[in-house]
Amino acid sequence: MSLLLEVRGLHAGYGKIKVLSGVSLTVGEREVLAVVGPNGSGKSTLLKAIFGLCTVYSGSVLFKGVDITGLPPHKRSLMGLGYLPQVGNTFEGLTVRENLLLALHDGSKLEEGIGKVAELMPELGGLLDRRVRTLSGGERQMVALAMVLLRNPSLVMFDEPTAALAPRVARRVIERIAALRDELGVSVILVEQNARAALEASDRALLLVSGQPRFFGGSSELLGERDLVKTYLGL
Amino acid sequence: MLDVLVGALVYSNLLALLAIGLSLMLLTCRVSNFAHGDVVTTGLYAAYTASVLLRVSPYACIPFALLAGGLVSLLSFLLVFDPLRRAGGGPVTLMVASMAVGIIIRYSLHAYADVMQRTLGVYTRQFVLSDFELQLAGLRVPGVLPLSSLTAAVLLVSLYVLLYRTRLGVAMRAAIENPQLAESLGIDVKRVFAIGWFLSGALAGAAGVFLPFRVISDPDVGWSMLLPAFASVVVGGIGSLAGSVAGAYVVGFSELLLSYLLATLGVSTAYRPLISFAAIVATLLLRPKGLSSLWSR
Amino acid sequence: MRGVEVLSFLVSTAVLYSVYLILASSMEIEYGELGLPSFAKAAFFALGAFAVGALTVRLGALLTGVALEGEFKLVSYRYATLISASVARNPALGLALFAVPLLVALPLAVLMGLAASYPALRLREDHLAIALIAFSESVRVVARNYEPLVGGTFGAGVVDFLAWLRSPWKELALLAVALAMGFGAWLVEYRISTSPLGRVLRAVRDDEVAAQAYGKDVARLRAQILALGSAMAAVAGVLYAFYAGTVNPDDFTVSRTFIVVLMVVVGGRGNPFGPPVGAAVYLLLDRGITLVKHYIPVPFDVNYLSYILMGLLLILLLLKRPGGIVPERPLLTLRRALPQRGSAAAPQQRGAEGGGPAGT
Ligand SMILES: Nc1ncnc2c1ncn2[C@@H]1O[C@H](COP(=O)(O)OP(=O)(O)OP(=O)(O)O)[C@@H](O)[C@H]1O
Ligand SMILES: [Mg+2]
Repeated sequence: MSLLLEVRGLHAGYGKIKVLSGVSLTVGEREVLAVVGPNGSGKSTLLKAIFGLCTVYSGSVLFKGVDITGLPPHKRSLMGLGYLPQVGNTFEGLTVRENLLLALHDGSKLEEGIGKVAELMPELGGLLDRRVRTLSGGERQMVALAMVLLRNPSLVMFDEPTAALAPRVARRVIERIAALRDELGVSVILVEQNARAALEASDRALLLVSGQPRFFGGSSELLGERDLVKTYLGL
Repeated sequence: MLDVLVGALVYSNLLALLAIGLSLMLLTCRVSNFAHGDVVTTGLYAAYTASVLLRVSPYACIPFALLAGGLVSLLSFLLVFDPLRRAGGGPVTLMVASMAVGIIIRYSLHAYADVMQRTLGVYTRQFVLSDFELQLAGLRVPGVLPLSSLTAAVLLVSLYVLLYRTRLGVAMRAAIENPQLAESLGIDVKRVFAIGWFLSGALAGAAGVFLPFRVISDPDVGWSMLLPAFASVVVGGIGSLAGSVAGAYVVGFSELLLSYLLATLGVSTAYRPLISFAAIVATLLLRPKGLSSLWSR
Repeated sequence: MRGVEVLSFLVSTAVLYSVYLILASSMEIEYGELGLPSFAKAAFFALGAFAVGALTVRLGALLTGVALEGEFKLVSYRYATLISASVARNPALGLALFAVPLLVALPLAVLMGLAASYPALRLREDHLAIALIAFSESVRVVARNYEPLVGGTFGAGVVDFLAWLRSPWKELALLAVALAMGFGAWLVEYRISTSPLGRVLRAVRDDEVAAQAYGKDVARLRAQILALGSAMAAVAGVLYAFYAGTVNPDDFTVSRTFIVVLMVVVGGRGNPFGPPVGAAVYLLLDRGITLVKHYIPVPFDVNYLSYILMGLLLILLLLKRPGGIVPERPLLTLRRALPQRGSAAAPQQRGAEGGGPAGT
């Protein structure tokens, strides 16, 4: 299994506020990595650092074997890195169709793209001309997901896609995301509060505590570490 | 009375052309652009110069006004407002910068008016241009009425089509709403905003062409339209493009009709500007969302 | 130039400097320290001038037993000359005519400043700025059309309150009065800026949350500062009217406010030395161009050039040196305490910077 993403000794934060220290991880092709940890431990910051949205002090990010540490976000996006932020991941004043249009690299394929979306997410088919602002929380997440998928990414990073959803629904969404690997052949990084569901659906796991990695390995192994799981994830 | 209605419609058309640009600039850079009135004057002198040189009607020179207004506005974005916005300048700092830009444009035009008067031998201060008249539905109306209405309609509809029917327009609205996300989707936000500023300036420049047919013109004349244009934006609801256009007609007609009514009661029409000034203060304090609160939540 | 001309040029420059020093100091307290865009400055400036324009001739006529005949706008200049002649014989009359407009304008300005603090609490800063500019222009429009006030576009004559002095002494007296007022105003600004109150003002300016945490006090603070700033502007207006010898509503446009903002920004927001520096830079440019204008060969009125240069200067400063010529020093009052702390703090800081940002 070849490596898609490799993060080496990453120190990152916001200007003078340092958040991550010494985070390393790898994601292989068709692999699902769950990132778990207490609130404020730097999970969102890790995704932003990988996508190029915060300050990296040292360490490097390699994507498809290329060092992308200094690349602007839109170039990373063109390389096939997809990022679904926790908030502000759609244009709320625009219609669903317009959001999808923007997600495409070139305008010619809108109909094709919409066909693809309708296939993956039939629910969106009927909402194309609604403003995103008028959609439910779950529907919005769906639009955001569709925008990421339309760009044919090889790796998609989700930041708490289930934050606003009921636990029962959340579990289904998580399973659905994990299933993307099989449907589209993509790799996934999933930041989640629902640690158990995320660990059960993923191959590997990273446990972040106060910006430092406490565990990186197989998800089922992490579930087996009773102390860690109990102290930091409350399971 | 017919004169008053004609005046109100022409005036409102021009306010609409200004107000929509002011709104677009507020949306893209959070700047209340006090230089926008002087962009109108730039359009005025560009068209006037072209019409003298080419010996055609100023109406035929609207393209020059569009271009001059657009370029001045684009330059101000590229050289002043975009760098300041990136450096984290607040809205008041940007407003102060825009006053400086306005002063630079206005006094450059003053200087230009001197030069133009000398070299072309035409009046460039305190001048009016004579209009043609035409028969409309049995009434004699000045040509500026249909022409300014047509220009405003064509330009505003084009802008609407651009914003809501083209990919560039979608990108522009997206960049306004969430520049970071737009950037991450590969949209060149600066380029998109620059186009918005060019268009805003072009519309203002076009408005300038019609001014000398209605009011005594000089290099300060556009500046005097600025506060009424802001009143249109505020009354329409800050941040709403459709609101700005509606606000322009509300402000334009209230200014002329109210001052006409007051004149019949013996109050001088010179107090007319007070109507739009009062509209700014009252709307901001009492109904900050203006007209746009009627159709959006 | 002859001696008299040189003297009057120097005096007029110094008086104008004082007027602008007062205006810039008030703007510095409101906008530089507290962050309130008090962009109705021209209106408060006008208030002082209008008090002079509306009162000196009428009051002078009353006190000297002259009956005013004819429309005010047409006769005010004539009566101003007439009453100045009376002042020449009666210094007390001159002093009264100087004091009364001041005593009328000050409380009015304070009240108007308090009124302006009502929108100041409710509106976003840029909306507040626009509202105040609209208000300021309204005052001007009313004054230029309501002729009984200060003669509308004709303007109003002003009695020469120093008519009882002979030539060099008269100019020197005006100079002394102006400088006393100018530096008095600046001293007020300096004391506020360097006191604990100044620190509170800047804290409110820089931090919305802190501002909210102060709660009611912020409302009172804004009202007090606006009242003070407005009163200072009115004093400047009184001085300006007596200096100019005439009052014209069209002298008080938004451009006037802009020039004062320009001084504060060019000088340096948040630094008590900003206003004197900013006002000096403005006058140097303005007067400098007037002095050399005959040597600049351009095919238009050279005065336009000074406006253009002023605009360019402001923009360049905003882009290249946003702090102004004398930028704000962080915590001016703590500076004295720094040397003792310095040695202990320095290594700590170096340690914290250790990694050093390596780009984003
Ligand atoms: N834009 C920012 N500027 C400065 N500090 C920030 C910023 N965003 C987050 N932080 C800080 O960085 C730390 C980590 O935040 P982060 O959002 O990465 O945590 P998280 O693990 O995603 O938490 P949660 O589970 O609540 O989403 C926090 O202490 C937070 O206060
Ligand atoms: Mg998070």
